[in-house]
Order: sequence, then C-alpha cells, then structure tokens
Amino acid sequence: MSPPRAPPELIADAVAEILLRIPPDEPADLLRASLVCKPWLRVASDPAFLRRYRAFHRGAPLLGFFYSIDCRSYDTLFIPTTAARAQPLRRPADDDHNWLVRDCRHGRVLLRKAPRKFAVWDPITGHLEELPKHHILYSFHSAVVLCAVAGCDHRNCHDGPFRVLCVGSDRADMAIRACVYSSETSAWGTLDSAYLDGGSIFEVTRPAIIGDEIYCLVDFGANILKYDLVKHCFSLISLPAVYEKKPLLMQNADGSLGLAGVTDSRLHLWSWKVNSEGVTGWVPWRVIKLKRLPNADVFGFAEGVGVFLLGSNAGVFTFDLKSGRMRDVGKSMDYCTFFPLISFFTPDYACGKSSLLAEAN
Amino acid sequence: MASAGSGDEKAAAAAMITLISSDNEKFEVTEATATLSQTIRHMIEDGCTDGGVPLPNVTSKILARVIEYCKKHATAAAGEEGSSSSFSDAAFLEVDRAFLEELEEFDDAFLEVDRATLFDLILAANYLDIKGLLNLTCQKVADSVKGKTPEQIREMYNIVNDLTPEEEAEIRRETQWAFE
Repeated sequence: MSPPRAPPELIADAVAEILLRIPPDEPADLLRASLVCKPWLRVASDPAFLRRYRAFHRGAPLLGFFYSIDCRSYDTLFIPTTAARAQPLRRPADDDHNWLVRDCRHGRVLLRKAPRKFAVWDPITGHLEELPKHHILYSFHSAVVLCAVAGCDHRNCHDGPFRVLCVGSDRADMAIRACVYSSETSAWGTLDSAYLDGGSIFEVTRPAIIGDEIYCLVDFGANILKYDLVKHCFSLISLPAVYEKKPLLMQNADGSLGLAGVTDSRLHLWSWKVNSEGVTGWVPWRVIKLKRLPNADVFGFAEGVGVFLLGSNAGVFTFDLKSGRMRDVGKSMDYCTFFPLISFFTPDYACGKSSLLAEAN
Repeated sequence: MASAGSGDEKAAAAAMITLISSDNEKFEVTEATATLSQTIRHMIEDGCTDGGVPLPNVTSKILARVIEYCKKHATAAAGEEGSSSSFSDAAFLEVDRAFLEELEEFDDAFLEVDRATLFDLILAANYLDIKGLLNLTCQKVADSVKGKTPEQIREMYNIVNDLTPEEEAEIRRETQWAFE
C-alpha cells in the first residue's frame, strides 16, 4: 500500500480560516498551533487576525476564578478552569503582591492594597494602576471594577477607561456611603450617603451589576443593598428565602438580577423581575439537584459563560448551567469569595515580551 | 430527493454554467449550485461565464467533491440569498428538521476524507469563496489540533517546521504554561 498523499501547503488566508476556528476557551490551543511553522506564527500574531478572532467567537472565555482567603497572601490566588493547570497570568512587575482581590470584571482585577487604597490590575497585559486613596470611612465595604465604555463587549478593552465603585458603611454613624473613581479623571467623585434601616454590614461576596445598578449582599445575607450609579440613590431588597450558607448575587442570562442559594443539596436559582401579578419581586427560575455534590456550597458564577463554581469537602467544581457538566478544578480550602476571570488570552498577550511575534509580521 | 439540477425545475433555476477544472474536465451545474461560490456569483453578475468558467486552482477530483457539496446545500438555500450567509443562518430555520438532519449527516460523511483531500477542499473553498464549505472543513482541522503539541500538528498535516530551535525555544520559554 502506498503511503497517503501529503497534504498541500496552505496559503495564509486558509491558515487564518483554520486558526480562526480554534475555540478560545483553551488559550493554549491557539498558542501551540501558532508554533507549528513561520506562516502559522505570522497569521496568529497578526493584529488584524486577532481582532477578527476575538469578534468571531461568541464571547470571551472563562479562564478561571480568583479567590480570597481570610488572610493576606503574597500569592496570586487563582484556580484555572482551563486544561492548562499553570497560571498564564502576567503579574505586575514592580509590585509587592501584598494585596487582596476584591473584584474581577471585564478582564480587570480590583486589588485592595491597604485601607482605602485600591489598584486595578489587568492580568492579561500585566498593567497595574494604583488609585488615590478614597474618602469613605467604613467598617465594612464592597467594591467593584467595571469597564467605563457604554455598550462595550469586553472582547479587548484592556487599555480602555474603567470605573471603580466603593460602597461601605461606618459603624460610628451607621451611614452608608458610595463613591466612584473614574480612570478618565484619575479622581474619586463626590460622595453619596444615606441612612437605611439595615444594610450596614457588608458580606465579602461579589456584588452584581445590572445596568447602572449595583447590588451587594448585606446584613449577614438577609438583605441586598441596591445603589444606582446614575440616580445616586440606595435601597434595600429582601431575599426570597433563607439559605444555610451565603447565597450568591449574579446577572441572569435574561439580564435580570439573579440569586443562587443552596439548601438540601439543591441549587435554587431566582430572578428579580415583574411577576405574574405585575409586581416586581423574586420569581423562582430553576432548582437543580446536586446529586454528585451533597453538602455543596455555591462559590461563584461566571456571567455570560453560564458556569457556577461549587465547593464541598470533595473539592471545587465548575458546573455548566447549560450542559449540566461538572468538572473538578481544585481542592477544598477555607475559601472566602471567588471572582471569575473572563477574557481572551490570545498569543499576542501570551508572548507579550517576545520580539519574534513582531518580526513575524 | 429533488435536486436543483433536475430538468423540470423552473426556468430561472435551470440556467446552466460550465465549470472547467485545472485538468480540463468540464462540469455542467445549475446557476443555483454554482452561485454558492461567491467567486462564481460575481463572474455571473459580470457576465463573464460564457464558454465556461476556468478554475485553474482546482483539480477535477476536488471540483467534483465541491460540486457534490454545493448541489446538496443549494437545495437548502433555494429561494433566498443564503449563499452570502453562513449555513447556520435564518434561511435554514424554515427548512424542515428532517432535511436539516439529513444535511448534517451529509456534512459528516462529506468530511470523511484523508488529510490531503481535506486541505485541497479548504484551498478550493477559500478560492471559490464558499462560506459553508470553508466553515465545515476549517472547523474540522481546528477541532483536530485541540490539545495537540506543535510537533503532533506538524506530523498530522505534514507541515515543515521552519522556525529555528532558538526561535521556538524563546516563545516556549515565555509560554511554558501552555506546554505543561
């Protein structure tokens, strides 16, 4: 039998069409393919191709979850959800790494470096921007970082403007205060404050953002504090049920505020919207029996990707809401909070220092 | 199965085009089949298809396969501008489920070719600008490289590595996580 015919050499356009279709959820796949030969490397490092690549796919993929533990750590605490178990993150070069992760959104990580002192880190480019101290005196607080470009799909907004919102309460006067930092003005804005019947104790959980509204879990998980960034007002929402462990706030696929809580090995999902009686309230959405993970806790949710992070004594698992697929991603620890990193990690960023990529073009 | 090429189709669909392969073989196809190729569609619009369309980049063996694909998919796209959109577009939503399943089975069977033929089909789909075929064939190759090392990909598709060991080592050093 004669050996099979050798495949013909591909022209650059055809190589681009193939590389374009390598799914982004395992960034190592496109990177390894780019090392096949010079023509493939040239395509995979072409800025125009990479723009097309990021636009071609449904959205940025989930790369993993940052997490915090109940003490300071000099390690970047990150659980990859990709097959590559190492951390492909660019740690800031001249940083002391003495910080806590407080949020991760739109490809940016919010770090708390000292009381009232934040920094925003891009783990794909390695860029770190330290923020001036803000004016809120608080005993408890929540903070979020978000892209400041209206209508942005966050496929490649690394260099774009961002905002940081800090909302906290002061034990001394029981006032709730909020303040927004803008990277465009490099300054914190004016302070909003209110006195509410509750909302003074902030839980260390990831707030949810729906449009211009930010929702934080407060009062030991009994209430949700809503802050409107545009109207500058605060209000409280009660929870639909009492859960054994801290429930999770999230944005549902339909854009509504969602809540996930676990009771009796069942994951209960709720949606805050207009119910059948025409009143805005909690509407039950789904109940999922966690057969394989009794006594699990819900740690995090990656919006846009639809993946939960669940934990139990057996370890940490991702749970894909659509397919129901569960995957073991880490061991059990005393975790506090998880923050999903959803971002494209294309070869241009993966080989940021390599002069070879520049030469290839 | 009614094919778009059968003689009793309405007059517009029955307009025939002659495609000529690199080895000078002639293929008679309906305009509906031929215009799944944007390249040929533009030639028809420009009125330069009299005397046949020479395709010097496509052999008769590959052109026969491409036509087989286009015939099948032209039936599905019949009656709308489907050839300008990808095969997952709304045009197909109106086609009944059974036909969609049949089309999927056809595509799966169509892809059962050796790697050389697969690359030939990609080059032909790219040259003829047939979006559905390009998507189908390129996705097959893209899926096949998942989880593979550069060496394995080179071996699979007989690709010569023209990177120097130093160049390859430099990138690998920076991206070690991808090779562990």
